[in-house]
Amino acid sequence: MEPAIDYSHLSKTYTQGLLGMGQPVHALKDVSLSIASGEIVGLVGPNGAGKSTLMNLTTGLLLPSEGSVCVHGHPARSLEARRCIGYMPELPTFLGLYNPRKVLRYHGALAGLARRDLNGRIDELIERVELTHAANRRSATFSQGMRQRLALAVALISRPRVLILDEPTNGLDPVGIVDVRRMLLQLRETGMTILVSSHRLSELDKLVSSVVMLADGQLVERSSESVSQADVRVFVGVAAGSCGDHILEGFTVVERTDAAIIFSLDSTDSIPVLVRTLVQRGAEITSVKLEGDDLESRLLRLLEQRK
Amino acid sequence: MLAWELIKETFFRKSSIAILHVLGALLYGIIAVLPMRNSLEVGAFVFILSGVALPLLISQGIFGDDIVSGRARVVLTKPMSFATLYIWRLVGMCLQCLVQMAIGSAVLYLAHRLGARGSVNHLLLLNLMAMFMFLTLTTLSTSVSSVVKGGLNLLVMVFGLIFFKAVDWLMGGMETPLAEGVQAFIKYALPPLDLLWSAGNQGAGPLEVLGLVVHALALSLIYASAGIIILSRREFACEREC
Repeated sequence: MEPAIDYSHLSKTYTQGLLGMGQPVHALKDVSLSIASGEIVGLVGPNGAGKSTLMNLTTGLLLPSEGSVCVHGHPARSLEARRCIGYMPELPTFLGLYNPRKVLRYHGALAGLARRDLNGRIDELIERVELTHAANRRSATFSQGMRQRLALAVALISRPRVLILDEPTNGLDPVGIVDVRRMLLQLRETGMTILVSSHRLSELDKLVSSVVMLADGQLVERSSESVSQADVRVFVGVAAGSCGDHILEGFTVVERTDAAIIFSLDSTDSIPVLVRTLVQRGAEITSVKLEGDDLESRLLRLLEQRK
Repeated sequence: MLAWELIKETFFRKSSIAILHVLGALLYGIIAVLPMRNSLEVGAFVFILSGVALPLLISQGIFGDDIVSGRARVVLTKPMSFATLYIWRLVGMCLQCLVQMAIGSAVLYLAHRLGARGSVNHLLLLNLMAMFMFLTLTTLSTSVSSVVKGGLNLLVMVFGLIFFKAVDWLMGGMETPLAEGVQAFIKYALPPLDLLWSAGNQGAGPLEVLGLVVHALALSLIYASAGIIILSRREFACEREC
């Protein structure tokens, strides 16, 4: 099956100084990666890791120094590739005099939508991003959160096959963040491929089906399974001496002391089973805590290893 | 639909454009009620306001503003060619100029007919020459805007025109092949301000007008091609890249 996005030996070097004679900056180094259709891929890494550069190369806003990017088989920046893409930048700006309807009409027209399709689509999107109350207000008066919602609607206007989101929950309140997450999960059901970068790693953890970690312009890790499902560590506090070896049979123990045991589970779904089994076997549980090999700790560990 | 949205955008992209048109209309109104001795004064006014000042102001930051604000980063990910974007924005600016010149000229003509003020000799021809001056200057300024940041294309254009005018004047006294070459370059490769002005002012014949129109169109085509090539080859990085 053809990948939705295919990066092949992709490198990007920025030149600096007068006539590019300064020290070059290698933002991406030989990145090869395929993203399958329907995946939600989280792009993580510290500042300067190359996340935005990778996204900009995918949208065609930057040109690769070496290698190539293909979107559904078409080279990035080609009209065919751009037809597949919906892009939401980190700091969206719109024509200040336009209200959301006009903004969406403008971007819909640019995306080649016919007038008869556009009216219904605009109403649908305004409702979906919950901007109905501000549909006739000038976008210059919008808060950051409202701009983010409108930018998401703009990215979705042409029903893209690939959605690229740069920090989509920036400036959103907790309710807004949950709404965006729900919306993106709904979009995944439609078979849309989503590439999303965010510094809110806990947020990404709940959303993505796989994670791409970048550091110093290099691909550090590509996990092919859900992060929250990958390796869950559960800290169980027990009354001293209440937990013999027979009680632990069938579970993977990572660490054990008199008063605590750390288990490794394959998913958070197994936690109730673990607790129930331990209690049934006679363990006196004093506390249960998700130690979590979460995205944040994995990223930090990987970065530490690189040092 | 695409064309109309891009044309409309050139007017609504910032509120100062509407203010500019209101000021232009006011200036036309003021000139209409002032006593003017001859057609030169009316013509110079139309030519300078609509042919020179309007294109420089209306095209300020036409691409540069989008690039700096980051709006270009969404617009240019839409499936349309760079030429489409460039051409319809240029058409949008030309339509604004046409409307302003039509209204302004009507005001001047009415003031002349009703109040016997000023002179409207060659007004139609001057309008035509001003329109082509507008076209060449706007195209050049738009292409410059695809390279420089924000609204700096206005400064580049103003200082560029002053610089080349000064060079032309300095070279005027020299009779070397180099000086003649530089003068020919300024006369034919840069917006033909002098040529169009004198043709409109002196009431040039049909052949001369045709030649000037072809010259202005050819220059506009070259400037526009350069701008479209630059847009399609350049990168649109954000301020905080990597």
